Amino acid sequence: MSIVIVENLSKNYSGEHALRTVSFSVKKGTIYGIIGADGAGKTTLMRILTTLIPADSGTVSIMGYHFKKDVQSIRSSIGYMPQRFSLYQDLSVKENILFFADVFGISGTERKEGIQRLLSFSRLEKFKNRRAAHLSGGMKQKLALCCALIHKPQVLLLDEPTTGVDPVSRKEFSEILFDLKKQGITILVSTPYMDEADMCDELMIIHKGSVLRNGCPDSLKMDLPYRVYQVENRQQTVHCPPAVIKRKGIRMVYPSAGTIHVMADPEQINAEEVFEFTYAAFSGFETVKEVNPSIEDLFFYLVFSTDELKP
Amino acid sequence: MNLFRLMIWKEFMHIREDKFSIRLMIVEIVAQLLIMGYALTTEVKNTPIGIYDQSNTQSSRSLVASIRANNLFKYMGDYDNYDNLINAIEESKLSLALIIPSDFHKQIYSKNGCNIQLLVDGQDANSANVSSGYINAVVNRWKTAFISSQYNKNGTSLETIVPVSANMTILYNPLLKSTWFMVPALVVLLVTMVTSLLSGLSIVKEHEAGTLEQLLVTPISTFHILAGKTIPYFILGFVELCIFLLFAQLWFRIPFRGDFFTVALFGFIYMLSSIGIGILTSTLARTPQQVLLLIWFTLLFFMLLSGFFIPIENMPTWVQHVTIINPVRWFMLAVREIFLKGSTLSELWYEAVVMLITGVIVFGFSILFFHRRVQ
Repeated sequence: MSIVIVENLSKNYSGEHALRTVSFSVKKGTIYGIIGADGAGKTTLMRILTTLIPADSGTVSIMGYHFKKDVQSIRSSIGYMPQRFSLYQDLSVKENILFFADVFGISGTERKEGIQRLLSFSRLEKFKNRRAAHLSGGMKQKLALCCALIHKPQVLLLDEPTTGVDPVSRKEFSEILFDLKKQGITILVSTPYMDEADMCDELMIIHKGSVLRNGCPDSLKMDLPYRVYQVENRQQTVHCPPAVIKRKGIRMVYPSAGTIHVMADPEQINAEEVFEFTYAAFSGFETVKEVNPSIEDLFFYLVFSTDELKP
Repeated sequence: MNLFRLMIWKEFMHIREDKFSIRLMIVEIVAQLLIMGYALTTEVKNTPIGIYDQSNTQSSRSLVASIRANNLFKYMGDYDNYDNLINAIEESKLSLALIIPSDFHKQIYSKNGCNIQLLVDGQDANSANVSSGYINAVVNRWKTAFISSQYNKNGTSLETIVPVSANMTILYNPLLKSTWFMVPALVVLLVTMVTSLLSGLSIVKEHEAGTLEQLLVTPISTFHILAGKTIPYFILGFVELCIFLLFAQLWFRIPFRGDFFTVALFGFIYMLSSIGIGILTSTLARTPQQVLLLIWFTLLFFMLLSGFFIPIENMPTWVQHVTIINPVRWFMLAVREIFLKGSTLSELWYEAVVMLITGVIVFGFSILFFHRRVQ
């Protein structure tokens, strides 16, 4: 059932660990998220999966192809969208798609229908004669997706497709990914945005080249042993730098989408005491309430417990 | 085969959209041929000369007249004292100053003859040599005329006393026009610019844009990519070559005595090196600026050591040996020979073989490096 199987993948860049024994597998027809901050190793992982760079050790199998022995087969059967916009800026939307159709040897009516399908599906029909250089960030990403989809790949690898894209386009992009999933395409997507975790069927949290956790988002959230309180002000955003607090029951505070999250150990502190702490610590807020933990909360918990809390 | 065609088509699409490079190619042809064709001349003309004629007699005036009549010199006027003459040289108004002594007339009839003084601005050693040589020639001619007029008075002719005269026939460039010599050499500059620079830039641009990486995750192989990055530039190089040939014949009226296929063959062999240099540069450089600098640096060496500005024979022996690997040297030589002498491949086989060896090595290495970098 697993269409992508990664085992013990490691990669060093001049002594620095970019990836440390990364293992995971992706089930056919699901969306798999690779979530981590900048420099976590997401792009390195993507580039190894697409056979662009070699791994130091470990193996990858995509659709049954071995990543070293069947390089050409992998390259021709996956769809890949690099982090940076990598299409020809001086060609038009249609010319770019046509070019990639020809590259994959798609011709005749298949080519014609494929292009039509992609243009309407990505809502780029109106812009088909516009040069890629003159597209907005969101449209560029959709065009790149079209070019990655022209040969109907079974596996799609997207490296940070929504970085630098406005929130509306990000929303639209995730809808497109759902559509693709319905068509049975397996999608691996990396992102630094924790709020995109919920669209994934399964995900991994990667930090400094190591996989901290993987699994489905809902069960991952259960892994958090602490409670999360949200401090907010409806009129303005409140902010504080992320910090580990070594105070009875309070573990850490960090910013989250214009609010502040306070993580507390329920065995040592109750809600009343958390409120007292926040009144003393922050000014200019209106409410404090307990919220359901998100993947972001788990991420902060994992990162801080690996980086700072370890002796 | 289809993928090769696709990659070549794509490259031409990029060139079509790259208005700057198109302009560069056109402006280059016109500017280089028109300006450089006329400007690059080894002839020393219009040398400013001043004369201080202390004698001011009939004989000295006839010498001055024969210098003034010669258009190799630009006569800047008479000077009536030595200081003014020296000042004029110091202010760079004059490159040559001729001083005719006051007893010139008397001396030329004396036993010891006469010495006239020539001051030469020697900053530019080559021009100084050439122009002082011209003065000598003019003075000698005047002297011969003077002697023969003396003999004629006695009823004998000079030819009966000195019965030798050289009968000169100049081959290939009978009027010794420097454009005939220079313009064929300019084709090297044109072809090199288009092939090295544009191919190198085009690869680095794809690298920068990340499109090269995107292409690698497709069924396209390195060789398809390389074909797309070389064949269009071979074609463009040939187009430039043809335009140049037309320009040289129709505008400069330089007779083309050789045949087109020999030039085209040499062009092809040369482009192996020049496109090879372009690709090689693109594997070393990360940005277009670096490509420009690297190619400029390489070409400067190739041009200086090609015999274009300085004759190879004037160089130290070890440098002469180094220039054997310089494809610019052989291509320039071959084009001149084919153009003016109508040389055929059988006469130019040495040049062809040396260039071919260099070309194959450079092109081979460039493919190897490109392949390695891409992997």
